Amino acid sequence: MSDKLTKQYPKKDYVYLFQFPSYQNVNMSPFCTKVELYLRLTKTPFEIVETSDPRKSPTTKLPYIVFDGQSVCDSSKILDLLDNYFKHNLDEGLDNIQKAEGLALQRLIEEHLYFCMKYYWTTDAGWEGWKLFIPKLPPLIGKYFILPSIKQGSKQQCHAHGISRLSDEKILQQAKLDIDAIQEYLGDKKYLFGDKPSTFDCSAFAMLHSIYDLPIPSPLKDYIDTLPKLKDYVERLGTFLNPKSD
Amino acid sequence: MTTPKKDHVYLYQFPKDCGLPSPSPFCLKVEILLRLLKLPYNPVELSDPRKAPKGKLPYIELNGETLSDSTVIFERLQQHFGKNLDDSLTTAQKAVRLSFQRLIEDHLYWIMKYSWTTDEGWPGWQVFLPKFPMMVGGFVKSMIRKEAISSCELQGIAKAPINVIWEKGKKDLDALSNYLGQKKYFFGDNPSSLDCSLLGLLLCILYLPIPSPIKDYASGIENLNNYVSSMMNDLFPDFWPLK
Repeated sequence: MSDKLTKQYPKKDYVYLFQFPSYQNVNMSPFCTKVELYLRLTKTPFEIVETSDPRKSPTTKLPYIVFDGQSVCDSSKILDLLDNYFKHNLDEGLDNIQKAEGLALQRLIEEHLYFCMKYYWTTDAGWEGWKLFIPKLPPLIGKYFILPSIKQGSKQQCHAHGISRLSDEKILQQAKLDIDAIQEYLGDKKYLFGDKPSTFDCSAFAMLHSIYDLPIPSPLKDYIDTLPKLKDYVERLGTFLNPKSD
Repeated sequence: MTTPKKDHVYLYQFPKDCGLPSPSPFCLKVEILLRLLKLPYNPVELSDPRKAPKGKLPYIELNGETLSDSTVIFERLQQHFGKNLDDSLTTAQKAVRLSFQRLIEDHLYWIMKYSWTTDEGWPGWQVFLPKFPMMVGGFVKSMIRKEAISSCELQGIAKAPINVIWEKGKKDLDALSNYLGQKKYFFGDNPSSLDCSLLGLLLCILYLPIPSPIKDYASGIENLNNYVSSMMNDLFPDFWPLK
């Protein structure tokens, strides 16, 4: 607990969500969307503090929250903390096998599909879409420093991960397998594990929404377009995300 | 070198160490597949991955073709020899199989790698590195450590606070243990390709002499240890129990 944070962000039992800007209500980062969706699904009181520069975060990554005088980083840690504190227990209806399957799917989404998506951001075609974010960033620094850093950083991250060592054909094949796996988990159900959303739906929606709704062309976006059940799912969960007005 | 045999796999991998066929989860993954499918093969020891076609181990040679990356290798081997471990899985199980493969190879693997670079783990990891000349050895080793830390940071795992990293690793291990239960293989009575990924990584976490909270936690999970023991007894009687 920090006195300085408590003074600056005084409301109790209230979440200050620090996240990237959005373009036409779609956030730049799927991890920010994941947390925002969780807050809206659970009707947790919160407000967004738009932040273009992730270096202000304690771990230099967004999102982070300030909650009751402490900063909490890492989207999964944030969801765990709030779920326990407010006793929303979004996953309580799931048995241990389902929770294990859910965690595995979350890893597929956040540790693999995420890098496939990033790979397409760094292509020339994908990069054109990023330029739409320029007006949301500080002038000059946004265009000549922040965006090129994102592009270079994404390339380095994809290389470190290993995805960009594969051929284009292999990357697309593996990414489509990931998307097919999400669709298989969903089946004909409303949400991944039944009639109620779980924390795993927050991960799945966030990544699919980023791929499909960000104005960044990619073969993954085109692929989701051919999958009506997934499109419905994204649309259904998307209704929980309102324009910034909280 | 003698003429390579037809339809015979040459598996280029790190040399045997710590009693294991190889101290690398991806090399082990491929060798486990070769043994599960009873494919004819020879391991070829290579200490320096920079000599590999893509700078990474394992890679294989089969009928004059060189293949890198375990996913590519798996596809090719199963296609060439007409044997696919995952044929008996349902469509739903295949989706779960892929998810757990990602958990193991794209997340828990990175947590293990990170644990090699900490102050606790580094002394143990250093022992594995190739022997460098005395004058430059210390410098080269510290560059290798820095490069590993940097790749963990770029991948993202190292960006979280250290206690959060260990918590995530424990969650992964719990999920694997819960899903496996008391089954012989991950999906029941027959092995799947997931068993290759899982056994490969567990062998490294449990048996490489690199201390970490993840090693301690995994050592305490009974069904995972029994799983390793049972599979190694069946597949690697020439290595098990470890010497």
